[in-house]
Amino acid sequence: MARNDLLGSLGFLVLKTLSQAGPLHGYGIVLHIQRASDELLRIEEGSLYPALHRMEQSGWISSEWALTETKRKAKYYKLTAVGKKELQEVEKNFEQLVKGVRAMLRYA
Amino acid sequence: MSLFRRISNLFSRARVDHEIEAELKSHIEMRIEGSIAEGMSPAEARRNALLRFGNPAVMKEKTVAEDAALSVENLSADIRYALRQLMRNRGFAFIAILTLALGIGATTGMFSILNAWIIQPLLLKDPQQLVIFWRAAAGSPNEPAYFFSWRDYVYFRERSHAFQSLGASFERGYALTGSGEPESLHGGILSRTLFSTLGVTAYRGRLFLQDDETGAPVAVISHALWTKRFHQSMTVLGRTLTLNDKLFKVVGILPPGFSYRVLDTPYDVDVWTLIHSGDPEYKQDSVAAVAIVGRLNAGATLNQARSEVVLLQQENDRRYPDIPKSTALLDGLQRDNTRTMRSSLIVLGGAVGLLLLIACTNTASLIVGRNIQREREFAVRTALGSSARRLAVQLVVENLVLYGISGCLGLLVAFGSVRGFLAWDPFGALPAQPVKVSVPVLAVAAMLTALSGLAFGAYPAFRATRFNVNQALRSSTSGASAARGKLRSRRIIVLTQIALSVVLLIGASLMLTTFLRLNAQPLGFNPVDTHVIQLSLPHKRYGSDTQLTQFADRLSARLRALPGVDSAGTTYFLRLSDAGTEPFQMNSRRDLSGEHLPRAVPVTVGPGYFQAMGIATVSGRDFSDRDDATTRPVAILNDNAVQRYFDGKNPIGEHLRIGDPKDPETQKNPWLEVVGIVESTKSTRYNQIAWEARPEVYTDYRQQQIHQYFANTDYKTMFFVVRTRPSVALSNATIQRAVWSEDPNLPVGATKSLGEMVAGLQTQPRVRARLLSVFAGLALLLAAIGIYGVMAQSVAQRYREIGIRMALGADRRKVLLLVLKQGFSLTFAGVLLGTVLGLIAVRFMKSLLYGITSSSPATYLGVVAIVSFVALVASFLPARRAAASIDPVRSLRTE
Repeated sequence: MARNDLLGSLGFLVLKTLSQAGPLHGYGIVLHIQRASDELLRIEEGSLYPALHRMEQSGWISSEWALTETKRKAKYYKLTAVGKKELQEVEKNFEQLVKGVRAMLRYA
Repeated sequence: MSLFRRISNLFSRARVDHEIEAELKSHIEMRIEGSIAEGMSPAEARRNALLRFGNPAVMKEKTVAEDAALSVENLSADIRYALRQLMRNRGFAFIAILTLALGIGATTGMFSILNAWIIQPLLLKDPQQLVIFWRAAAGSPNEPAYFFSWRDYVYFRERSHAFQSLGASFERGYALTGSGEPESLHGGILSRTLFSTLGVTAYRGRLFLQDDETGAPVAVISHALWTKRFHQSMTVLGRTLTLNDKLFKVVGILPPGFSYRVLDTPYDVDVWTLIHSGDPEYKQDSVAAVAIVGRLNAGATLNQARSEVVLLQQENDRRYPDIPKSTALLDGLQRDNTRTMRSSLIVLGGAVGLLLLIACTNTASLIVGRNIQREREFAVRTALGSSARRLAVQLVVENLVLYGISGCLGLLVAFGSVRGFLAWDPFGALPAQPVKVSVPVLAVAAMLTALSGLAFGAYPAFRATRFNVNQALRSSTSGASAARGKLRSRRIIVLTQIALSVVLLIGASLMLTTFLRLNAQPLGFNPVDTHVIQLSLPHKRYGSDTQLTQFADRLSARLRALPGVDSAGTTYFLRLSDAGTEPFQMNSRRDLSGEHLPRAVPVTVGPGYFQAMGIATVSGRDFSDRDDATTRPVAILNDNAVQRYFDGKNPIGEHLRIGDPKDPETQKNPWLEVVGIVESTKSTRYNQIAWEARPEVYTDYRQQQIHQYFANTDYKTMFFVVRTRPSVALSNATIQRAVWSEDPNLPVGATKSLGEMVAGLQTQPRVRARLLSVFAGLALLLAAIGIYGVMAQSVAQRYREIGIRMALGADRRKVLLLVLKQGFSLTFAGVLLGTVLGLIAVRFMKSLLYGITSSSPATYLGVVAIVSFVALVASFLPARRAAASIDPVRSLRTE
């Protein structure tokens, strides 16, 4: 649980995105989250970057400058082995949280 | 990994900033492009992108904050801030850093030197097991008086149990001839066991073997001589050297760095030869002097060995009832090597420690003062939201930066001062162990620096955490009484400084007086305008008295004929220290015997000696050409002998004979008729600073049978004293030419003047006086800076108060007195404390004083006067400025 808190839901979404879609730049991550969540989840785009850099400092993701399809320079992030493990951990915790919350809801 | 990254990011903050900016910009631009593609107008797209993104500047700051570790980033900011602060206050920074660097550097340097002399082990195997034996007079068992004799060595060697082995050696001057210029070498003769006792093995070739004691003469040379004279050629092994006209085969070379010194000889021996079993000078009962060294058994202590040998010496003494009673003095070899300079080193170490203390307190005073001045700044920052902890950390960092810089500079000073010391070589003796700025010393100095940095940095930080912002903001720098309490800590520091400088000045003044008194006393001879030439005349060519005296007469005549030379004379014996006395018989007192016999230093001289030395005749006559081997033998006494043994009665006409009547050898000595009395000359004793006159009996060398003492040795030493007319320079080369035109095979070393010989014996008091004076001067300067700083600051803080007083009618003179009063009380308290501390400190210096007592009132009054004067001048300057420049109207308006 504690870890989940630390990472925050934004971090979880970013890790999940990178594991589903492969290397992406920040803008790509935003688009993916919107698309994948059927526009349900909208994030303040700027706040993505402190999270990205924090995760990079923790070694969960790594970055590299590359060219986009439109020949623009952008920084691409990809999941590291440590990040994959972290994601699994967080997913497991999240499932449990969801299960727990559902159980609570059903109890009434 | 991540930590490394954070740290590396720190050093490239600009790069990180730039990269993040590029990243955010590319995001916003991609969003704009996307929106335009969806049909928005460019302006709308831009607005939309920024709306979705949030404030880019804030986002960037947040992102950067994730990259750089916050605390580390702050530390570097604090360091930069500290450097800026120091740069802003250049005067403060300069004085503080200079003071500290000098203090730390001088201390580290001095203690590195102390370390090499006293703590660093000798470069020998298990040096703590090595013990040296000296014979001490029963009256002063803590100072060595003489060497033991060979017969004592034999006695100890056979009977002592505390030692694995004993070895004996003695220095012997060797003239190396036969190839190139003749050269004088520091030589030594030794018992075969000496090297094994010391635990040294050959570097090349071999050391001495048992067979060498009976076989052909062999020699072992030092690594230094091998390098200097033989350029490290291996062909030297097996080669034959001519030493004092005898042939020795070189069999081995000692390892580099091997050093065996007895007492505190400043040099190492270049060539060693063995005491031969058939050597007539070293028969079982020989009285030839030797230095004895022993290696303790594993587990035996120095104290056990000491009590054993002291007992053995008591038995040994009983075998020879006619010689003065003596006792054995045993010391570690290391301690033995610092006998004469030990007390100087300790005094100087203590002085330099005090100096460091003053330097530290001076900087502390500066820092405290500056922090008081900055209290308003702290208050403003606290009011603006800076946490007390933040301020404290910053202050500590600031001080650590200051002390760090000073520490680094101090290291440079330390290296410089060690190098300077080695070049200066004030003691005329450097330790065999290398003098390095050693790691432990460095560590201690660094720790001291860091600790004082933290202590003086943390104290104001502590103050900063608890002061009242409101009050600090309200009270301006010119506020009156509130500031007084804040000055207290600084005043205590200055008081300490004054006290410490008083202590140093008292020490310096006592040392200086000692040296001046030593220098001013009449020695009985005139040391200026003299050259002393020491020659070793080999027995082979100068075996008879006639050969010796004829050579001396010829050379003296040649020297007298040199331009600018006033007179020249010869003696077999010229020592300004530790001259041994011999008993003599007086015709009028035949009843005396044994210990009751009068004793005097026998000195055999040639014609012109008294004139060349500048020794005045008191009455009677000098030796003359009438005195020779065919006439009646005569003697001249010095005044001291007359006072001591003739109760002031006229001794001229009295007859004496040198030697103990019980000794059969004495029968060979002639009865001498006293024909004159000369002024007493003074000499010193080993490791004693006082000069004293001793009884002397002079004889003419043409009437003496010297060769009888000389038969067993290789050479006879002769001294030629040349007196030039005032300020005439006589070059070494001229003297060498004169000697070599008589005998081209005699090595002639550099000549010394009598003045240099005297100065050489006053090295310790001179060095102590000089260095202590320098230290005391520095201390006084630092204390003056301290007083000036405090007074200036206190005047600044009382600006308003003084203005009010002046507005109420106080005139400038009263203001001056008001301010000065503060300086007076500070000085008075400091001087008082210093005098008390000084009285305690100098108790340890008593043995180093001459002609003055450690509680001499004149010294204390002088020091008190000097310190008071300097302190008052330092407080008068700010006081006068206050009185002259304070305008009551303006000072009341400034708030």
